[in-house]
Amino acid sequence: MDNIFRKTKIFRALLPAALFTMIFLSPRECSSEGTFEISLSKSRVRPGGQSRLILYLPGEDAPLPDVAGVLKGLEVNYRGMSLNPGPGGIVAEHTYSLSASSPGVHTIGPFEFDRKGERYVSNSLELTVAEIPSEREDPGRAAEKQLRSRIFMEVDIPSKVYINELFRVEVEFYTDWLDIEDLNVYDEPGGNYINEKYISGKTVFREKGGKKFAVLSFFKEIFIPQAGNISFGPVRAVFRIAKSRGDTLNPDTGFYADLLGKRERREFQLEEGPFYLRVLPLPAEGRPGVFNGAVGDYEMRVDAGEPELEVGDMTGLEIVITGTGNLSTLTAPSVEKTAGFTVLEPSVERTDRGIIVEQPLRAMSSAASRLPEVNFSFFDPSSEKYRELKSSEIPVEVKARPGESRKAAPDIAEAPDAGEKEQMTLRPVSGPFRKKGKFIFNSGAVYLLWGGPLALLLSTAAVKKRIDKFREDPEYAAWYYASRKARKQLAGAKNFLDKKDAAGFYAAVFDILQDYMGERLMAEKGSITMREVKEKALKSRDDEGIRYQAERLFENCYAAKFAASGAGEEEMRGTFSELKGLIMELDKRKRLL
Amino acid sequence: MTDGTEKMALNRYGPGKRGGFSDMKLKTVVLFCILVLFAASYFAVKIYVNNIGPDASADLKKLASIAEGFAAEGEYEKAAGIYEEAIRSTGAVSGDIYLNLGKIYYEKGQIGKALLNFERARSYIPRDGDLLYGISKAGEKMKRKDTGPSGLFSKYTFWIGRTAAFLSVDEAFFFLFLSYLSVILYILFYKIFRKDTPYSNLVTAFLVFLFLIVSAVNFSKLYGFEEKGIVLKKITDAKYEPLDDSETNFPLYEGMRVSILRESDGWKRVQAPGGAIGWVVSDAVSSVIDGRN
Repeated sequence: MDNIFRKTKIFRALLPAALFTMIFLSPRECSSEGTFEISLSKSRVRPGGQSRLILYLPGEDAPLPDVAGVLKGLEVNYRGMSLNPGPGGIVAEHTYSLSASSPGVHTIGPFEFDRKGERYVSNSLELTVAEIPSEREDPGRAAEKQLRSRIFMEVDIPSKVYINELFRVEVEFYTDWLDIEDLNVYDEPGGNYINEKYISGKTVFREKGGKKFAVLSFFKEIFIPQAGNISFGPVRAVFRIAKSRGDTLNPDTGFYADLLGKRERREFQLEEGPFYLRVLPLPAEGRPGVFNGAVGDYEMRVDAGEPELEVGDMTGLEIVITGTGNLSTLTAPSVEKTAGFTVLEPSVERTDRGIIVEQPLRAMSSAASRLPEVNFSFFDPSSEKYRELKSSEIPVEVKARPGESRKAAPDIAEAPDAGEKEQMTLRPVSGPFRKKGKFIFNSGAVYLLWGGPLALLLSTAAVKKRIDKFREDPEYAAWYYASRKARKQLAGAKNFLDKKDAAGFYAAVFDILQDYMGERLMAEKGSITMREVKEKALKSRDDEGIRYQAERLFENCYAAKFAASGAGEEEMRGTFSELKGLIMELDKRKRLL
Repeated sequence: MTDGTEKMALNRYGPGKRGGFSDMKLKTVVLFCILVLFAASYFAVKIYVNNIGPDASADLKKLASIAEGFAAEGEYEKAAGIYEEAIRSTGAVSGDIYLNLGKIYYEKGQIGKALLNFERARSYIPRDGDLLYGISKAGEKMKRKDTGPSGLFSKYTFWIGRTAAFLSVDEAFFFLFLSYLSVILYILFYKIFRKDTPYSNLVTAFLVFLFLIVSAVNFSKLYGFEEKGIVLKKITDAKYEPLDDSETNFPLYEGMRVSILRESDGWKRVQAPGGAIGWVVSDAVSSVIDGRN
């Protein structure tokens, strides 16, 4: 019993160990081989057609298997990688494009790689390259497929670029002499780059799969400003094919057929991608101390101003940086802070091929013997290295200003901008201020300034002429004043007439007659009577009518003096119009009456 | 007219009589009118040219002192921006402001803009020592120098232009106006009021000569002033037509003085100092009169 009990105890003690051994040392778990999946986008392609192969590698650090070495007889192009979450962790998806020009069956895989002593093996697939039979398909679809073997597109895009590296996306559009119209190539806009339009390149002729094709090329240059994995595309080509009506496979290129309306046009679209790029950050290793982020391949030329200067003079460096690459990353290069010169703020002008930097400098010491050096560094993606450019030494002679002794260059750290501040002292602005762009000559005041004196001159001349006329011609003066006064007095007489005041009216008429005649006869007003008028004026036979009119008016006035109340309104009106007529008639004669 | 009548006429219509004005009275009135005219002109100038208001003046002073602070720290970009903004927002300027702006642009190495602002300052403070120094230094930096005066004032009358350069635009106008006014007053008082003076013709000849000299000097300042422009770009093509693909007639270099003859759809028709005419893009040339393109 004890023995049994002891055996049971031993059994109990050994049981966990046995279970542990069974679990952890089982043949399956002890195996040092893992697996991974591969897939093909198409298992059957036409000669020259493409199928996409994707390798799903477990983990981010899985090394790439030798795909090209395994796949003999196929054209293999790496298209990029993306990281995606999988059931067992992160899965790195590596994409390849496969194409074969000759028909046959190709075994894809198995691929394998080693990681930390563990071997991973993939499954294998078959890719059949053959003309796709059309019997089972409807004629339209078969025709379209056949058409696609005659028109296709290839996209060339790098799988790995650096941040801000300018790279080219090239699209080649193959066609075997079909009439292609309104071809437009574009891609799906991405968020990580500026989507430029494709530029149409050359058209060349190329043989592929034993056939001759016209190849229309398109390209664009883009850059991506942030690191990571990004997808690009898909790239699409939209176009129309002109073909004979009812003929799906043999498009007629004849001009006459088109003219006779025997041709019709169909719209087609080709699509390639999306493509995957790995955007790498610029390497930290080998980065120069002065690096402003320029990416490309550049050259630098530095020209200097006058070789002879005086202390305090301005001079400058013209720095021209040209080359290929991402020109938007170019900035003004670093200019050495050297004793004897103050480095001022540069101005940068961008051109099609680079930048032109005007770097102003001020000579600060007569001890300076060379201009400051210019340093420019950039990252060259083709060599994957940083490169530094340095200007050659430019000698210069700085003379002391008259009255100044030649002195040593000040220490840079001591007072780098002392001279600059001294030179740049601006004048305190205190006024007086003016309106912007306004001067006297272009303001409204100018009319007064030019016109005022002229108007004064002309009006003075006119007044003076009149004064002289009055002085030299008394008869004219008499006429002028008599006429002017009579007009005023007539208005007064009219008032009496309107009031039907006969006494007032006739007294006014008498005054008018005396005043007017007195002026015109150069006689005293009080001495003018009917007899005076008769004796002195209007003696000619032609004046008989006027004289008679004047006599009557005088008579009416005399009569009214004694019996004003006897004069009716009608009579007064008659007298008024007669007086008016008389004065008007006499006004026509400007000489003495 | 009998003798008695004539006597009566003189009594009645002679100088100072009813005939109205005597010469003396007229002279008094004319002198009064001249005084009124001067007063009116003074106020017209004040309204049209100098009237910017106390607020604008205070704002401008404040902004200018801020800009001076930035410039003293070497932050020229900010200083220039504040000056430009101060001019734009207040609509007021002075010779000192343009001089300071010119200095800032000179320090920044923008010779075209420096010369433009120095030229603007020259309209107000032409004899300022700092300004003349700035103009000469900026002129030295020009890639191509101006070829000298052209058009109305050729090299034979260059001295007239040089004399005029020492006058501000308003001074030039004032002297021109003064010579015009002196001719008007001469005609008024020596030709209208006092006829046949013994040296009348001599005085007239002298005054006309003086007027012509003064006019020539001042007219040379004002002639074409409104068309005057400065090239701002380092190099710009003057084309035969205002089209991008038109052929280039001649190049213009930064800081060169040109006459802006016309502007149309983003292009300016300009005349180079040598007399050649071409079209340049509007941004390449700016007018010396601030506020015009």
